[in-house]
Amino acid sequence: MPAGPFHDVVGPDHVRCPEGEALDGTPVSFAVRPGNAEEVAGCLAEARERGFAVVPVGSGTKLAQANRIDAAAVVRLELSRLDRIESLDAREGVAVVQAGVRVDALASRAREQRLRTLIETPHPAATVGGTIAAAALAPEHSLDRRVAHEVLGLQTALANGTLARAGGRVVKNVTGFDLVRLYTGSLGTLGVLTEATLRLRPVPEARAVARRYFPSLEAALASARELLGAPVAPAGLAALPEETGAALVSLYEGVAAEIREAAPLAGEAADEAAWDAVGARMVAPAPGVRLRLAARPADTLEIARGVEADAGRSSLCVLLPVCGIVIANLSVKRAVPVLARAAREGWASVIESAPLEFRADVDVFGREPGALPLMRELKCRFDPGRVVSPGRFVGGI
Amino acid sequence: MAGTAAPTPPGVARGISSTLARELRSLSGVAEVLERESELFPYESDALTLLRESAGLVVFPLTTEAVSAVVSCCNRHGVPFVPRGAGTGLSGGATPVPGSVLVECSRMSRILEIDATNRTATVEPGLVNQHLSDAVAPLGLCFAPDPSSQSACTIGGNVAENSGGPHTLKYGTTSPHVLSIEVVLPDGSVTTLGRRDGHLLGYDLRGAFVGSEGTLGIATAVTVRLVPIPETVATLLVSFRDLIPACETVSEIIGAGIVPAALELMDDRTIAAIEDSVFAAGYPREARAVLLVELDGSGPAVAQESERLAEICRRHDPIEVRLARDEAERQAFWRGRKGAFGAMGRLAPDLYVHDAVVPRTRLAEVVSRINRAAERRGVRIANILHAGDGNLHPNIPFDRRDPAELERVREMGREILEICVEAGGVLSGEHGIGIEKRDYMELLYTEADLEPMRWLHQAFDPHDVCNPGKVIPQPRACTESNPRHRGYQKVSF
Repeated sequence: MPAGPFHDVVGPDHVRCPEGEALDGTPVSFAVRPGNAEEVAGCLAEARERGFAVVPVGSGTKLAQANRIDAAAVVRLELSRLDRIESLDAREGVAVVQAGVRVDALASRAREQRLRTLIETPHPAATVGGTIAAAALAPEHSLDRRVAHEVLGLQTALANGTLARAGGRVVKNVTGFDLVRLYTGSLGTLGVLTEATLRLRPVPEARAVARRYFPSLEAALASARELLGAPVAPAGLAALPEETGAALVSLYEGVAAEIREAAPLAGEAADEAAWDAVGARMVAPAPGVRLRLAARPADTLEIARGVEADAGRSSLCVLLPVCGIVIANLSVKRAVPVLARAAREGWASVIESAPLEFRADVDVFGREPGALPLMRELKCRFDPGRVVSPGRFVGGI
Repeated sequence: MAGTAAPTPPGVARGISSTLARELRSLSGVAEVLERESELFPYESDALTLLRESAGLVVFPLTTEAVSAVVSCCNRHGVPFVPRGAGTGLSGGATPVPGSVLVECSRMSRILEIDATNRTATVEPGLVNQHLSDAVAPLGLCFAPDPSSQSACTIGGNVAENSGGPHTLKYGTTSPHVLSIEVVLPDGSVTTLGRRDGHLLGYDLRGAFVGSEGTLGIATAVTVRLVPIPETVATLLVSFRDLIPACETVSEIIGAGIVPAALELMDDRTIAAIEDSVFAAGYPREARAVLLVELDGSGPAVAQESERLAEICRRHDPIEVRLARDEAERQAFWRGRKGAFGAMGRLAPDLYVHDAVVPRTRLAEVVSRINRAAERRGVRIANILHAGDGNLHPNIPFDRRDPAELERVREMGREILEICVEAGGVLSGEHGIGIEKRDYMELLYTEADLEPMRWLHQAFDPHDVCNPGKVIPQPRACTESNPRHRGYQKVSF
């Protein structure tokens, strides 16, 4: 009897044919669990040959942050078996991990060496591969601190079934085109990440969280601007709108002496849980549409006011004034005018989660970027058969 | 005059049609077109002077529209073009392709906008790196990437090469400082990669463009991030009796979790060249190596880290640990380091500035191997290292008029790269690949690794007209078939 699809690549124990299961609304024909990078590449080669579409899945925390899959059925490529931390070189400050390693597992291993990873995400279960593929947002992020800056190298299984390395294992590298940055945030549409080489940073000597309540959002953001201009600026800053007014939560990191001076200026001392609550609020399940809007830092208030005007005060979830981001939880009905305003004002917008029917009618990634034709061309070169995550990214790439 | 042939226009002799030259001159926003041999001579190479090639023409556009028109004109005539900034690149990225049009962007040098509130600036590509920092200094801001050539190199060039500099250790190379780039694509159309607010939508084409060495298009405006000038800076000069303990000190500093703003290392030959030159900085001549370490940040943080750092240095038996007493002494320390390449002009008529990166914990071993290899080959090496990044510059002074020495230098260049790759390193940390290292890419990458780079290139430049033949080697079977790339085979590295 001939072996079923993917059996020769991963072994029959790691292939399921789930009846009635769907991945983000698309029927799953096979769920495949490769055990290493070569098997991931083998799966893609077979999928290409058989005309299957494949969607890689880590822990699934970002599955809803994508356009609908452009295929009648899909192969769910589960990366949970790629869960090895290959190496963690404390002296060099570099870790090599398989894509399915959970971010919290890596963080915990690094902490043993007084190191940390700035591959950060508020999703406790998120995988390294998924966090890189989605260029996930964390409350600590800024223009200077983001996932892309922490990735030194990547191994990727390409749609043609080959494995390719990009970048290296050193902290500075301009050897050829920077494919690491291209793959980061590409949502698995150019290939499947199988291994990442990451920078590790020293754990700061001290950390402090401060919290202050302001009678208005305006006052909270004015204070945020002041704190950001101080010689010791907060590493993270979030405004949490309340029924009236807003709380400003500040995170400080550095040497103890500077934190002792700076943190009290931002408010009353709070415990770490106050900062963790910011992340938790950012990713708490939302029944309607969770929308991320972004522009320049100084535009934060204007975005918030726009959301308030279209959808009411209670829809404002978290404001990150360091990088001009507003996260809002909206009803489906209220989301429409907010998205229209975002397009009008030229704000970046990403629907982080929404019911499938809603996502069917809009582009999750907002207004098409001017370079979309170039992006389509790129997708075409990397994945001419539209094997990996077809339709999921901006403009239905 | 009867019986006398009309003189051939200069560009035509190099394969450029006189119609193209005429058309370029007629374009609005084109300041100048050079075509005489004597005028073209300065543009025959970038700072990798070993490799020279004559452009057909050099054109000076002043606006995005003019760049677009120049590119379209080149396309109509089937002539390749090569973007150029100040020509300070060190890997041949701006060396003309034979018979090409060199698009010289240095006259597009305006600051278009400074947004102090959001700490960004939008500038034209020809703006000199240092001029940007000078312009925003009164606002308490600076542009962090600071290549040694920062008083001459341009922002467009920094984008093309993903330039680094001593302060890359803390602040990163150019890429993380670039938010968006207006680009004239190889077909002449204009697009913007990234957003001026730094939020990405879609593929990070901005990130892919930075460091692409002018092969994916021509940057015509760049929005960059500015960073606050640090409140406090402390600079230490640490001298050693040998290079190896200096390297070991670097590894220990990194291992201890200290992140200096800069961590630079120079060997005895470099020290002597500096101290004999106008850049003399007071480095101790008896030292076999000096470390220049800079810490910046808040007062308490710098004070605390300086102490820890000095303690680590003392464990490695230094001759001296000297903290710059004031800004004048700090500037003197840096004058030596920044002038080091210039000072090496004293050592020989030519200098091959090499660039590679290794894991920081293997610096001592790699530097020893390189020095031993140099001794074996009868080649002198003057080492400058961005040691905190593991970025080596083993510089080779030589005289190109001696063919035997030139050959030894080339062989040494290859061996340096082999040693670095073997130690887990890469071919370049900040100078790029250009032509110099194009054919060494296979030391590091397999064909399968290189293929996606070609796909990226083809998506931008399907007809291979923009700075062709640079960075990515042709697949083996095609090497001999592309006449456009043959010129470079005159000099092999």
